[in-house]
Amino acid sequence: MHDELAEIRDFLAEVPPFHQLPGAELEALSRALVIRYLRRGSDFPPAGPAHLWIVRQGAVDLRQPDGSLGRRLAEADSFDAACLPDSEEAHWSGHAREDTLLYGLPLERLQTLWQAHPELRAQALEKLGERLRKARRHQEGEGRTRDLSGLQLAQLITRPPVQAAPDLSIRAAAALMTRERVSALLLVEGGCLAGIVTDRDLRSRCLAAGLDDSSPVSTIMTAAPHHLPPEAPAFEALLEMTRRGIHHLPVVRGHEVLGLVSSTDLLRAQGVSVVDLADRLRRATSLEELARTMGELPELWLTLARRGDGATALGRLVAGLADLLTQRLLQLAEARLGPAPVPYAWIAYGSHGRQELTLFSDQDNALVLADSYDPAKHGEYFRALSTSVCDGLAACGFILCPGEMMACNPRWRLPLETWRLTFLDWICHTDPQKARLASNLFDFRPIAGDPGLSQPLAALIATESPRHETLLAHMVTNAATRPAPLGFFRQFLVARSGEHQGQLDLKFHGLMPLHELARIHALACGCGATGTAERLRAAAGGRHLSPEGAEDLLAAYDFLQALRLTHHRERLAAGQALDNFVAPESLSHLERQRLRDVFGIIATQQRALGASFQESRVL
Amino acid sequence: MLPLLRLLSPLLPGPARRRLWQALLPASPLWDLLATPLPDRNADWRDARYLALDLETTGGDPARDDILSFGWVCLEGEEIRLATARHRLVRPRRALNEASVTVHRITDDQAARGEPLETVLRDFLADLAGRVLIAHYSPTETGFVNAACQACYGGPLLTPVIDTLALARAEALVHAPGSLRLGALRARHHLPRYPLHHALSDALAAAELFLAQAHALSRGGRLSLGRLLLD
Repeated sequence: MHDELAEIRDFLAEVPPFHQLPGAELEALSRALVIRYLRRGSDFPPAGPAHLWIVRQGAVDLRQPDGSLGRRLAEADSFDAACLPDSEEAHWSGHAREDTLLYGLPLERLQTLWQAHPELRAQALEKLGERLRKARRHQEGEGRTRDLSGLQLAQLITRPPVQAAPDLSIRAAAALMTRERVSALLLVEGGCLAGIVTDRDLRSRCLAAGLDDSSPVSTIMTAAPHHLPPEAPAFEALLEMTRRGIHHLPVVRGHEVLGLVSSTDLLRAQGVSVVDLADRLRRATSLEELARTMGELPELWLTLARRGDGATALGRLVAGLADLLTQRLLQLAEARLGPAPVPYAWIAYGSHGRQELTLFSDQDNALVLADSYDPAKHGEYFRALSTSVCDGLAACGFILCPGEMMACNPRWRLPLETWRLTFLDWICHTDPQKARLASNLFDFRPIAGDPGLSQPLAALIATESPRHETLLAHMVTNAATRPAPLGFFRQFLVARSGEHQGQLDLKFHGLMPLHELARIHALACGCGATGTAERLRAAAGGRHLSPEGAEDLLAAYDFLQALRLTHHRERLAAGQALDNFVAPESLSHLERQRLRDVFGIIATQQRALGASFQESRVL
Repeated sequence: MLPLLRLLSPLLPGPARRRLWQALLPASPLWDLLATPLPDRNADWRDARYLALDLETTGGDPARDDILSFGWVCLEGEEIRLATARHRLVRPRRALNEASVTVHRITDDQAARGEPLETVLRDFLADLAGRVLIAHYSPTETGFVNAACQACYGGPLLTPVIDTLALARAEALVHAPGSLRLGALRARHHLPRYPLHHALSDALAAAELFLAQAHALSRGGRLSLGRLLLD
């Protein structure tokens, strides 16, 4: 009687979860199966008592109640929804996509098996949960219920931008808007975005102001409107709109105007979680409330990461929430201390400035005060304000910067003119230490207050840095003090002792050198962007960076970010504190290979950049 | 009396023959089979019960050759039940020749461990009761089982038969050489490849092929059992 159903048993031995069972049990299980044949198009599962069905040959599609594809079963896939309690899948309708041969295990037999092996049942439930989450993601991909955080602006652009030249008359512009049924018109000059005109502008700046409608539309437009890149998360657009009280945001890549996103587009695509969290931050009336709300961030972050959101999107998301948190903390402090006696700009630098925040970042911020600032009269106010905000940020999870490079330190709370002179000193009379400070501060981004106060500093950096390559050369030298952790035979050089023995520091050896390279390239070409990827893209094809080199660096950056994201995800899911240390042997062979290449690319690019500045200094 | 009946019985219609032999035969597993009611020919094929059979033999002539093994599996309507799958080796009356050893990979030693034909036949007939017999190229199976019934119980095998090869042949007028083989037909109906020439896997292969053919012929609608039966 032995070996007679060998091919069926051997097939079962390949099907999860049965592959874990010993041969004798598989043999017995094979004998309990029934076989059904479904012609293409037939309903699935077959009518009759509940079974666990395994596709032996063919394919089955399962559709969710709304008609979207929930799951596709192929050879060796099994369907146990009818055997599990409250399974959503049990209500899905299926049909054979091809002629299909099914093996079925009757429910009673499956239950006997589960009694003998409770872990199989646990696995079945776990798998079901996984599939349901995946199906939901699939559905999101098809454009049903989406969450703004995972959505990029590019996905919200539904039509090419309606645009005109700024010298068009107001009347013609209004006619064009009416014809195209749009509430905003982009004004483009020489291929670049010059301004935007909305229905509201036509009303308040033209009609109400009694302006002649034959005047050029440029007289009523908002010049140089705020815009976002296509890869920015939609959530960020919502924050921008709320902050600025506007309803339209142009989407621009480089100089190319890609389209326009309106608040209506966002509302249409709106989901819950992230937006809800942002909204609660905005309405919070106490530090406790803010801290409690931010306490939900790790869970949300994990959900989004599991859902497949990339490191770039998550970095921007955390940065966006940190922006919001900072703004709210400032508002609360001002409500307590009274309005600021002189205008100020709150800036964030480092990873917050680059919008590359991870879940465990320390805070990097500074205060730019108007030149009318008088330390004797206003010093105490801004000390209290910045201390309150820095402590608040710390209470919400952004640990205090160990180097005290924060707005609560009087050295980082300076009038604009002093900052200007400081920056000039770092650029023109640099040394290794000043270059290190510049590396940090020059990634800044205005977060709150009057952005006009920090703008001159950004302009200064953009114009002066390309002309003072000594600073850049020092930055290159600083970067080179962190050699790639590869030995002579490309083996990884890991920590030999201490807490992280046998591990590699992905941040110190990988991400920081990449940030540095991108920063140096951006400074050298006067690019004002602060994001690492944006900087590399902007510098590609310039004097110091070939397009291929930029591509290599971008790929290296993506890889390291993804690796760190996975690492953080795993640690977070396991309830461990986050760090950037990875043991090479915990990686797959392919990942190790890739990581070696990445370190190789970084070292090559560092050498190339060093040589490039050496050359230009000789010339 | 009996020789005359043997001569006349093929001329009678099926039910009458069954009744006749039931009246003539003494109590035996064959008599039990004849006494069990058969599935209704006019009912939908999905309501009938079946048994798919494959035999391995020492040659092609039931009068001279021996059965080496039985493989069978039962179907309840359109559901094959592997719990009913059986594989039984039979001890042949004569020594094996080289050709059949090559084809079936059943050696003299294995065959010697086989059971007496009557033991296996008794169990087989018990399972067949009330079922339609399915085989691929059924003359082999019906011929050898009929010979065995005659030898053991003195009467013929009278059972409705579905021949998957005949069903395939009826699908078209012209057939390419080899296209009616079990493996080729299974591939045409998108069924998996099984290692053939093992009585049980061949029986299972025929059972699955039958399901595919019956579904194809009924095109989602009703199809009476009678339309699928041989004769």
